[in-house]
Amino acid sequence: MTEHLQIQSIISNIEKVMIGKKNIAELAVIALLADGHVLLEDVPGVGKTMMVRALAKSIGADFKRIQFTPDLLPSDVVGVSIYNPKEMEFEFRPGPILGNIVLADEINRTSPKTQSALLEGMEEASVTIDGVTMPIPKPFFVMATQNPIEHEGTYPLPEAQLDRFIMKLKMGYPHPSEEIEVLNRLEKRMPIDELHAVISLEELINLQKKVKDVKVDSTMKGYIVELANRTREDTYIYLGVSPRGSIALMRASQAYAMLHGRDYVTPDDIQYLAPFVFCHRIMLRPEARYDGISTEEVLSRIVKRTPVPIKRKIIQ
Amino acid sequence: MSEKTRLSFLSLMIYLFVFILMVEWLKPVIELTDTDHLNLFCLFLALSFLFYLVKLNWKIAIPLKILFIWWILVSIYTEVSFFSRDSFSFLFDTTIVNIKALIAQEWLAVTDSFRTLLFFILLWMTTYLLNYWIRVRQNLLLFFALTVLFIAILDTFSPYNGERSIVIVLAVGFLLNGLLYAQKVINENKVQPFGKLLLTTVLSLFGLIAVSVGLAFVLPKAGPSWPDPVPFFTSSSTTHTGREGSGVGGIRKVGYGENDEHLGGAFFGDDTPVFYATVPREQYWKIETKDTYTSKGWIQSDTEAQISSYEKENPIALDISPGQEEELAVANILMRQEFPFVVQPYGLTSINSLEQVTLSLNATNQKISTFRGGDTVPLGSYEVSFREPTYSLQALRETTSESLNGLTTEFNRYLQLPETLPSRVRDLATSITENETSLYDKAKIIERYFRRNGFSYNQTLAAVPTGDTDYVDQFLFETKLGYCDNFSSSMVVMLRSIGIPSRWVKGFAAGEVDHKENNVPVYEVTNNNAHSWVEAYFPEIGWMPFEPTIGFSNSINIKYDLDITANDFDTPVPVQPPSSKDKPNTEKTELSKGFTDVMKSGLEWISNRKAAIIWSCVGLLLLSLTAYRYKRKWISKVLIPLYRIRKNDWYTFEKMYHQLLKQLSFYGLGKEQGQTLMDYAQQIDAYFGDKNMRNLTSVYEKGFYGGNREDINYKKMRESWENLINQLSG
Repeated sequence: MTEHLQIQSIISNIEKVMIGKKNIAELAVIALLADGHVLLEDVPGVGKTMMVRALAKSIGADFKRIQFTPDLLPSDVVGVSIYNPKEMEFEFRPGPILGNIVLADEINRTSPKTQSALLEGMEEASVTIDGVTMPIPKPFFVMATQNPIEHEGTYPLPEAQLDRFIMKLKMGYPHPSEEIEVLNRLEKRMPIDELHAVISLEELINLQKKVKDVKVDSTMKGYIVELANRTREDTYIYLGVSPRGSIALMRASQAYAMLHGRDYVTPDDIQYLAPFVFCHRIMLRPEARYDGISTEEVLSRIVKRTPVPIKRKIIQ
Repeated sequence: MSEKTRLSFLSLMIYLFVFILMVEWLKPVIELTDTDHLNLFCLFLALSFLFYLVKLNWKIAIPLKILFIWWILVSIYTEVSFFSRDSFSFLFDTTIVNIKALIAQEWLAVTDSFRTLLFFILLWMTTYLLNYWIRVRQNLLLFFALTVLFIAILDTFSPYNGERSIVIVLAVGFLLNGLLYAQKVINENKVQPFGKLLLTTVLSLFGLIAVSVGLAFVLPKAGPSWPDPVPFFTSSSTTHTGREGSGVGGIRKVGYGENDEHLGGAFFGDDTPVFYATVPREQYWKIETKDTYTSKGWIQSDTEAQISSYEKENPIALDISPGQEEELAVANILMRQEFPFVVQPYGLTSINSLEQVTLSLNATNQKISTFRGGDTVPLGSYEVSFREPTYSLQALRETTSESLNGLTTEFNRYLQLPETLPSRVRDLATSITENETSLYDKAKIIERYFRRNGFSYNQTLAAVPTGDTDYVDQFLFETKLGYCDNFSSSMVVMLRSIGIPSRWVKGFAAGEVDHKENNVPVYEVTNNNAHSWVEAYFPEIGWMPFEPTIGFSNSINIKYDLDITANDFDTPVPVQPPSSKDKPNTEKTELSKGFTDVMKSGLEWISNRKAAIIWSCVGLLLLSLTAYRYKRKWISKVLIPLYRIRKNDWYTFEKMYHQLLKQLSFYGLGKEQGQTLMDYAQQIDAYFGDKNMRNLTSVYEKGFYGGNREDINYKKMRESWENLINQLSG
């Protein structure tokens, strides 16, 4: 069982440039292994781009970045066919989405039309331009960022779109001592330039396949479904977690178990990942806001109250 | 046997049992509606269940079933061959006729064949529903409960006899539900390997049900606590009073039960006054005697009776002579119900009434009827003069068995016993009386036999003998619960079986003092006081009454003219329990007798040590409470050896782990329900300052969530487990 060593090496590689953000790096790698995409909600300048670039470099994948602006068109994302007068025919110029690792920066600043072009590509892992469907090369990993500060002139992602991200992460500011360390490292050189790939793309695809072999016991499936169900029934929650959310939690738990060198999912995996996977899929009722309760609090209460299966039930 | 075969065998059993239950539904329906061809309906059911069992495609199953129904209809209702064209035309014609009738709402015009068809469709729907319950819901409890209810209701409120049916339904139903449950568990948990589980489940289920059915079969059964409502309803519509001992039937509107052919069963209290007797001393009021025991009740043998007529005030010659030395007493009887006969105190000499009446004494049953001009008439009030008979104890003690040899054939009817009387009754009577020499003492022993030996008086739980069961035998050996009829009949039968002529007497007990008139008590005698007792005949003494019924007493004048102390007379002679050498009648009775004997002696043992038992219960309770309170001190000493003897395998480990969780929870370190095991293990280890719980938990998680149960070092696990358990005790 060497998979977890390979994964650990990716994470420690990222850690060379990211200081004090091990858990975020870990989660991003988990999302990548689970073949999902991540939504990062954070203020600018905390190292989002750095992390994605480090991730891309660590796996030897090409890295594309799309800066979303209000005037961005779908063709700017997926690509366009341009008439080549020399060859007398249309030539396809692939857009930035046709890369392995894509950073979609400030996704909420662009129009819904362009947003959905990206999101469709994410969901189907292919783009259609002028009636021609082109598959996006594997592995395909989108990290979209959202700026929580600005609201003027933004188009918040609708719930249905949010559901497509396997998890939503927040980086937050580094600890002062960590920030000093960042300054120290960047004083003379750019460590990102010195990063080398630790595994190949083929190895990564192989890892993605192996994630699916991690055993999810029937009791664990039951536990995931029970958690999802309780979000649907909670009095504070207006919209609960969809079955897609349950699948996402299962897949992420498998990747997390693999990261820890296990070939089976435990309730700890599920409990650890539940906030990252479930929170952005839950819409609270206004009452929750009046009571000053956040989604995280509602979810942690649900997790606390849901019995962890520790015995096989005879009667179902 | 492969697992697949096992599973299909399981389903085969389930469908078979469902089929049996369905047949139990069909039987009463067929019987109560006078329908024929139960076999064909059963065949249809069997066919349907077979199709469901083999999961035959509905495209084949439905046409097959339709063909089958059609074939049945054609072969039952017509003579034509199924394969002829006529069968088609029959089908066509009936359909037309019935559809017309249905449209016209002429329900009576619907033909039988059409009704049969509808019944088949009903059966079809039922089997479909049952299949749904078996396959999808995997639960048949509702159907089982409905079946029991259905049979019970039909048995209670209709002529259908569900005695056999209910036993079958209960046994099969429990089996069925158990098997379904086993199947459900196997299906849902994918238990591997389930062969062992299946075997243990099914075998234990069969064993359990067999044992309970067997026990229920051999144990004595009390009679019904309320009478079968069907005869009750029919009888209550024609009668208005009950008389104790008059049995289920035979209650006349005139008020006195004549029919004692079927004794037994519960009866209801009725305090309607029958008559008022103004008499100085409590008296038993005799009406008549019966001489022939039929194993179910009593009848009078000689119907062509010797009748002698008497005018009022003339002395009447009854076969019990009045006491010579007693004063003449007079009882005033004021009737409240119309009895065309006289209630007689013992020692009656003459009867007087203001009304015009002729008295006629029937010598065979000692009944005095009242006539006027050839017809029986009830008297409103009359006076009875009597001298209470006295008996010399000396003479009684001198009665011997040899003197019985001189009895005339006239007494044969008082020695009659049915041939079917089980021999253990005789054996019992012989064994309890063999130490006595005089006939009187023998009779007294029998009279007193009921006061001990576990008999009790009960009006509601008295059993009705069914089938070949003998009324007396059932009471003596099986139920031991009953009222006067049971006690008196049993005593008569026992007396007769040792050769003492005896007869069964009906009448009324003394009743209660209602008020006093001129210092003479007036007794109110109600239907509740209806009673039966015993008269035994001793040569040279004559007839003498005995009262075997618990809770009743009939004071008889006995002259203590012997030179012995009264104490000696009253010393109870130890009653010999029926010897175990009793020849068993059949194996069944032997077995049940063994059981009742064991139970009886067990109950006696318990009742003799009531206080000791109560105190030891209290002590045990206190002890267990203390033990529970301080169980932390000793629980490890129990648990560790208990689990040490088990195999080192995953199942033991799983049990040990859960036991540990339980003990930790008792200790006050319970796991919260939303807490994961690993999280909990860290908490526990932090508390005890070691790594035992984490070691155990990681192995448990690996085995449980990961299904990886190999390479487990069970020895090490056991060590960690024992450490933790010991820490909990320490």
